[in-house]
Parts: sequence; C-alpha cells; structure tokens
Amino acid sequence: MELAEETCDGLARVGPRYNAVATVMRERALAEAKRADAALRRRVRRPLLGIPYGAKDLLAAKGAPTTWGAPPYRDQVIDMDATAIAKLKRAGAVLAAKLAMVELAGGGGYRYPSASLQGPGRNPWNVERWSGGSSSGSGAAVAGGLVAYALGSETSGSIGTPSAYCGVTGLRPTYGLVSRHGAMALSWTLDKIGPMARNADDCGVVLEAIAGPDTADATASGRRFRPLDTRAAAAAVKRARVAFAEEDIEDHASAEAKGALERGVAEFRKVAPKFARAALPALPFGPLVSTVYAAEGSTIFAELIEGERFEELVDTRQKAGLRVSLDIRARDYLQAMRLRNAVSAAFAEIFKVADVIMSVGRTITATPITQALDQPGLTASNPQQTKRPGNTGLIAAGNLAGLPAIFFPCGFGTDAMPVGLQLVGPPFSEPLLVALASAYQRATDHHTKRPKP
Amino acid sequence: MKEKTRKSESAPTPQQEDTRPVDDPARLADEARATVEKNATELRKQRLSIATEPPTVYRP
Repeated sequence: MELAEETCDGLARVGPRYNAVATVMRERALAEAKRADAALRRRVRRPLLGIPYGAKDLLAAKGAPTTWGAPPYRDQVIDMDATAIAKLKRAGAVLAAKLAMVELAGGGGYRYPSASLQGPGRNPWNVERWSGGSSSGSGAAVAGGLVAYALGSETSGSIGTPSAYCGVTGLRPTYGLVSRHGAMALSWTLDKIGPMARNADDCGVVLEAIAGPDTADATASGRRFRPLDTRAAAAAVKRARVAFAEEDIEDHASAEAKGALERGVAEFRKVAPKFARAALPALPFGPLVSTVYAAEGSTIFAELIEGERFEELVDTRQKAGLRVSLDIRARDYLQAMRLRNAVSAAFAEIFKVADVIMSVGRTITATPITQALDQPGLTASNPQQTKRPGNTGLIAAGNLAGLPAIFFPCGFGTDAMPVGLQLVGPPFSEPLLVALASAYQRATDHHTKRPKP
Repeated sequence: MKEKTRKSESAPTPQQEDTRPVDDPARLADEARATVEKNATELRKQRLSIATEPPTVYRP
C-alpha cells in the first residue's frame, strides 16, 4: 500500500513537470495494492506482485478515461481492461497511471513534440528536450523514477525513440507475441505492445506476464515468452553472432552522440565479441512503413477525419497528413504490403550469418521541445550525407518485418543527453535479445544513471 | 484534373521556393500530399517478378 501511495503521490507531483501523466489512478492502484498486500501475507511470491506501473494512454483500463492522447477523445471511457493490463493485474501488478502519448500515436506525421493532449513530452534529463514519441510519457515516467516500468507501443519507433532519448530499456516484441485487444489501433499490421523499464531483465519479467494467447485478438500468435536461465543465457551470449555496419555511427551519428555510441559498441564487443559486417539492402523502408501505417491509420480514423471534432487535434501537420492519407491508392498500399516480403527475405539472408543485428537506437540525442521534427537539428548536428545507408533503416525495416528489438542506453552525448543501442533478432528471439542486453548491463552501469530530481 | 483541384491556389510550382510560413495549413497540406506522392513513386520503382513472388500479399 505504501509503495502504491508513494508512487501515486510522485506521479501527481512530478508527472506534470514532464507532461508524462494522463491520469493518476489512485483509487485503482490502492485497491490493487491492497490485494497484493493480502497475497504477500499469504506468502505468495511473484516478481510483479504489488509493483506499481504506468500504461500508455492508448490502452483501455477500467477506472480512467482512455484519451489516445488526442483532444477529440479527452472524455472517452472504455470500461474494460486491455488484455495486457488484465494480464498484469493477474500477475499482481498495480496500475498507478495512464501515461501521456503523442495524439493518435502520431499516425498522420506530426511536426512538433507538442502534438499531445498533455503537451510536449519533457525529458527528465533536460526538460527543454523532448522525451520522444509516441510513448512519450512511458519513457519519461520510467527515466524520471515515477514508475519502475511502463507499457508502451510501437508502430514504427514509438518504443525505440523514447527509450533512446530518455535512457531507458525498451522491448518491442515480435508482432503477435502480445495481444493488442483493448489497444488503440493505428496500424493493424504493424502495432505492437511492449515494456519499457530500467533494465533488460525487468523488461523480460514484464514481457513474460503480458505475452501469450488471447482469443480476443486474432493476430495473437499464441506464443509465450520465457527468459533464458542463467547458464543458457551465458552460453547464448558467448556464441551470439552480431551483425553491424560501422557507417551507422561513422556516417550518420550526430557530433553530440557519436563518441558515446562508439564507446557503447566497443563495450558491447567485449560482451559478445563475434561481430561481422552485414547491412540491409537498399530498400525504401521509410516510404514503405509510412505508406502502410498512413493508409491503415487514416482508414481506422476516417470517421474522425471526416467528422466535426477532427479540428480539435493539436498538430496541424498531423491533421494534413491524416486527411491526405485517406487518398492513398490501393495500388500503393498493396505494393507496400508486397514489398514487406522482400524486407523479410532480406532479414532472413542476414540471419543466416548472424543471430542479431546491432545498430544505434537513434543517431541523435533528444531534440529541443520547440524544434520541428522535420527540420535539421539545432543541437543534434546534421548527419553527414552519405551513400552508405548501413542499417539506419532498421527501425522501419524491423517493424515492417514484425521483428523484435531491444533498445538500451549506452552512455551520454556531449550534451549530457542519453544515447543508446538497439538489437534486432528473428521472430520470437526475445530470449536472446534480453540475454544480450542483460549481459551488457551487467558489464556496464549506464542503465543505472538517474537524472537529478 | 482531380489532383489539381486539391492543391491550394498559392501552391508553388516545383521550381518556385515556397514563401508561405512553414506552419501555414495550406502549405502543410501541400507538403503532406507531396510526401504521399513521393512515397508512391519510391514504391513503384521497386520491381517484383510476378513469376516468382510468394503467392500471398504480406501476412505478418
């Protein structure tokens, strides 16, 4: 009970500093904490029992509105728990807050970090910098110590970007590993729900609780997740073959991020030394993924787009993007879907010679909250123009192929903002990804750093 | 013809620099449409052999 009360107090007091909180759920949290206390008295021992967490406000939960971060839905009440939240409840976890997000998960292509009902997500490492999107509140709340872990979601980069910018560990599961029942749909074929936490092991604990079959989600694979035991993890890390393209950092990292990223890769090589060069083929990953989610998202939100409340959305560019996406041609959407097979085939070729692909989480550090997201960096200097794309399209490509990824911090840029790395593996390779990131985190202390309160 | 009617009156031709404010809604609408078209062009450049491609559209 005390932990739940302290967490709710902290969320209410500090949450607004980061624009991280949509709703503090004190009543529900205390009721769940009471049940957890009773279980603890009965000597029940489960890793998440009584531990408060926050959920991105794209997930329905009893006891609070589900706003999807968007003014037109500010009063929306969905009187049910999303499957991921129901599973955490069964594991004894305590839902303390719905966390802020970019409106409609940013599917129209927003221009400013302010594209949210709660305002721009502020980064606990520097509140004048963005916390990333679209799981802005999840990243900030974990980084700021408001909750031990949070649920986020990713269509293309929405767990990875806030994890990298806020210096937390985020796990994007394989498509279909975690049920999306009760989650706002932006893209039926891309959306994934995943944990964001202080370290890889915690992500694994949360993933184990939320993964698995769900009759309410026809796209759920039915597969479960179990972390490797200590001995199996050590052996897997030792023999893991890591694909890496040096130009990801050499040619693309900003001046602020470059040194820390290079040091992070060097540290990782000591943990998993079998590195080999491998890069994805030159495919238009960005146009592919944005065509898919824009076409699906605008169809999902067509009634809103053509209705009276559409203008209430915050971001003008997002509105323009949603409107125009209604006119994406079937020919182009289907061409994108066909090409996803080519993306999967390209990964399959790499995974013949490597177990995982490593790249940067983001090539830059968090941008200022007032900076347009489609403009060259003010503090994040422009990456060098290059003809070597390396694996910089890995976030888009990995999402197109439905592959899992883990994002974890590896230090700080010269502007004192976090930077991180990502690992992508074949479908359902989460046990290896967690084992590798966990081994790195046992050998380093970047993930233990906390911003000043 | 339909494409032309969607563009705002002041939309610049490709050769002209857009002098409208960067957050002007009409400019943003034109930019959004240009992005969709650019993406479509990129996707159409990718050639797939219908003789050998897998028998279904992508299933995640």
